[in-house]
Amino acid sequence: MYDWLSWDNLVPFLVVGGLVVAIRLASRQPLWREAFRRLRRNRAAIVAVCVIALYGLVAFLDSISWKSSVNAEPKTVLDRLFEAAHVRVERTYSAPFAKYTMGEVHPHRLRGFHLLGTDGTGNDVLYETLKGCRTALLIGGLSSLLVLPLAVILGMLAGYFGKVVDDIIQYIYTVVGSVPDILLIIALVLVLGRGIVNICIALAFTSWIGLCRLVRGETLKYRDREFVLAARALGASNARILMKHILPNLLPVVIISIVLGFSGFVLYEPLLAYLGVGVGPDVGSWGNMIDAARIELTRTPVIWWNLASASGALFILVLAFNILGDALRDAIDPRLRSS
Amino acid sequence: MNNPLLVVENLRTYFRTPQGLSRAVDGVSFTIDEGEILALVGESGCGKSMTALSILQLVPEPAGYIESGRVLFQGEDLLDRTWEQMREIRGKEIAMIFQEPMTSLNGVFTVGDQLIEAMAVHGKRGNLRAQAIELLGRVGLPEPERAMRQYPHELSGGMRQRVMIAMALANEPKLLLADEPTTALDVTVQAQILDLLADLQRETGMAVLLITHDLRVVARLAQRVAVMYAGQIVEEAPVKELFQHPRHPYTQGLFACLPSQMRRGKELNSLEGVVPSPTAWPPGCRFAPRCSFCWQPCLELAPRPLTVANRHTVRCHLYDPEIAPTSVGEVRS
Amino acid sequence: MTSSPTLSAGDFLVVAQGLCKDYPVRGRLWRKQWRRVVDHVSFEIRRGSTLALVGESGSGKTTVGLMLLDLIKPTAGQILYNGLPYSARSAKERRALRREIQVVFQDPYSSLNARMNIREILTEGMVIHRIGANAREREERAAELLRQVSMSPDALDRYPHEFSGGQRQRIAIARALSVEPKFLVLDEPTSALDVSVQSQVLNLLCRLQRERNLTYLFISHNLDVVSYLAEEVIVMERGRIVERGAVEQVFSDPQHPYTRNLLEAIPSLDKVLAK
Repeated sequence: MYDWLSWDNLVPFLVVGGLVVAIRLASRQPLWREAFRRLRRNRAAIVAVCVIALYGLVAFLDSISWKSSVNAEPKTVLDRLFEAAHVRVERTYSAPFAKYTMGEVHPHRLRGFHLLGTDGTGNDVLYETLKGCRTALLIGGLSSLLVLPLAVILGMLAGYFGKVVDDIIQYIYTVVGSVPDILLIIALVLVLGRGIVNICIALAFTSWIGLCRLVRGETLKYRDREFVLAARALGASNARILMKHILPNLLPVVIISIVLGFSGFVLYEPLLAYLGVGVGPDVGSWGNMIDAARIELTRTPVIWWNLASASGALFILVLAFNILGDALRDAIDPRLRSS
Repeated sequence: MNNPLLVVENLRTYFRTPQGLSRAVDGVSFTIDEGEILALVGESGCGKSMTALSILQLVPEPAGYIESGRVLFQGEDLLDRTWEQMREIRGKEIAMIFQEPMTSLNGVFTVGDQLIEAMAVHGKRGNLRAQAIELLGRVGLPEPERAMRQYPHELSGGMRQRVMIAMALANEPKLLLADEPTTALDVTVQAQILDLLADLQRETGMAVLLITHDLRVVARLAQRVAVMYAGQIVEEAPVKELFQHPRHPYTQGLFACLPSQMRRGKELNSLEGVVPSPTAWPPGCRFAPRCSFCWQPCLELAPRPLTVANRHTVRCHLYDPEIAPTSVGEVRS
Repeated sequence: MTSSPTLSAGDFLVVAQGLCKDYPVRGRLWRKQWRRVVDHVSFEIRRGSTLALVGESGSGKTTVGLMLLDLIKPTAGQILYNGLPYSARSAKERRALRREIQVVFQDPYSSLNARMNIREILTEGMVIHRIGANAREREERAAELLRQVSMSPDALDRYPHEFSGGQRQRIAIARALSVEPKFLVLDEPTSALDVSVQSQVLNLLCRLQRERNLTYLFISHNLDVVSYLAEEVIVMERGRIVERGAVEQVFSDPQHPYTRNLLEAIPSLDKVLAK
């Protein structure tokens, strides 16, 4: 196995490739083309897409890693960029733009320039923030990816077949839904262990219910439409009807729901970190940074830059996704109604 | 009965669309006398619904706007009124009922609440509840007291339409605009509603503008009829006259393509072609591309409305002595 | 029923016997209540002819149509196609039977899948029943179908929302024809169309019936269309057949008060013109 080929490195390429393919396929259908056109006219949406793309780029750079020598730690492109910019690790805290460390009896001169200061272990805050991008996008993306097939398939089956199947699936999601989400997530993480993938599994397990209900409702709506009846009269099998007739009509609501749900997942991570079941200290994440603020805010002078930077980055990403989700809904919905 | 109540002059209502300027209503003029029932007949897209909405200034904005024309109601131009001033007219002097009563009635309020509100909004006094019950009885609901407490979805289509009519009549309007009031109903219920409208019209003496695409509905209810095509009125006549002597080729075509028992086994005459797009009306006569009598002047010159018989006007070059020098007379299909 | 004594059972393509359909009604938790939507409906349709089914909303006419299409199972009664009841056929045979019985619905806007282009809509039936050896052949058949309904083959790449109501209805007819059926259930196919478009579609339906010897069940409440198109008519009210017979006879001399009501409600064009 090559040193640089690991699961982590494949994922970003797969994701980008997947997105490109999806967009290519969608633009064949005139309804999606119309939606894209409307989206392009929405300036807020374009800004949101650019912001997300920027975050994506950072995460992408942080995902490709290799070892410079056999015994060294694999370093990502982001790591190497920061190394090349001579951003060094300091001894301890320092304020943004400062020249000296902070909080020590004898302040030491800083070795390098830090735009947003350094944290308790001397790491550059900007560097930590950027490292958190990957974690956030991974959590949002992987959780969404896990929710998608689960919710869509169960929702379609429940809505289409009704009766016993519907009862069973409704029973399942009512039971799962009646346990408070956070307790279930904590329990799952404690069982599965910490780490990004396990957290995504736990998040997906509690979050599929909302989308499942939505899909079930939409399926019910389309199941008795005349074009479905006509397909049945033609002799189409249930599988064919679900795949070719119902699923394409579900996609708009599913996509909007996923985009808006993405930010929900990203916001969960700091909460989990605060509760001690986050991604763990060795993975850079905004949650860890925010959690550290618990102590930092009680110091005098107050150390605020760690918290501000992580919160700011989080806020901007969530805002961008929400704006994009709303814009998508506006772009897609009128098209739906006119059909 | 010869007092003009509503005079529409050269009404033009346009829409700004991505494909260009859509001239939905393009020079429509007609008169409704007091107590008269005028039917506005046409197929989808001819602009008849938009004409009615323009009278009440309910044209969907911002895409739509009234470009020019006058709507004289009792001598006053309604188009000069502001939105607030129009509120005094809507529901009081001029009322409107629509095709789909389920979406015109608010599903979360009872029938009684909505009826009372319709009256209270226009300052009606007295025991509104009693008046509402009386109204419901007048429109033929079998148990008015019970209906007051019911919600729209608990009523059948015909009953909902009766409620709509009750709401429209609550403030004794002088003019009723009825936009396809029976299209969504069953055939027997259609007949009942039309009879109800006829009775109410006789009792109250109000005028009615009946918009429909069904010539048989026209025959049952209206006194005069105007045929619309491509945003303009192409023929106008008393009902009996139009049915016995349709002059405009489009009107003749409409009658010719109706199926009936007598036409069994024969191919129906159908109007070839499709209605042109309202963003690009053809120059000259708008029906020319589909007209079997079309000749050169039709393509270049737009025909003007001409009187051919008693109160019977046609917009067609065939009847224009200046353009068709030989007297063509009636042209039958 | 005006059945001449020389007709044999084999002349009837479709026979409905005692069809009933009940739907559950929200009753008490422990006592399930049923609402009878179709009540002992029986009729026969002669090969190559048109039977009209007339009724208003709530008459059960659409339910009867759906039962004939084998899309709904009757609570009681049976349907014979070519002499053999649906229930006596195996699942495989019933699926194959779908080729022979097709449907055209009323609403041209919801009867076509907005997400599929016309090529996909027209070739779907062919794919299911393995008509046409490959994609090219199927496309040729689809183009031919469009020509049959007087539409241009370059509609294949377009989507339903680009067409008018009348054109969509023609596409729906082409879709029904794509599997070469013998029997068509037409559920108010022209009710949502403008008068001038309706005449075009009616002419098309007549021509197709002549050319392919199709049998129609024409569901409608428009008595003018019925009197133009159909040979026999049955009138339904609240799930029951209240009158049946040859069209001329029923319309000139209606026996049942409901039929009389219908005829008087909106007078036919002939009567109107005669006034």
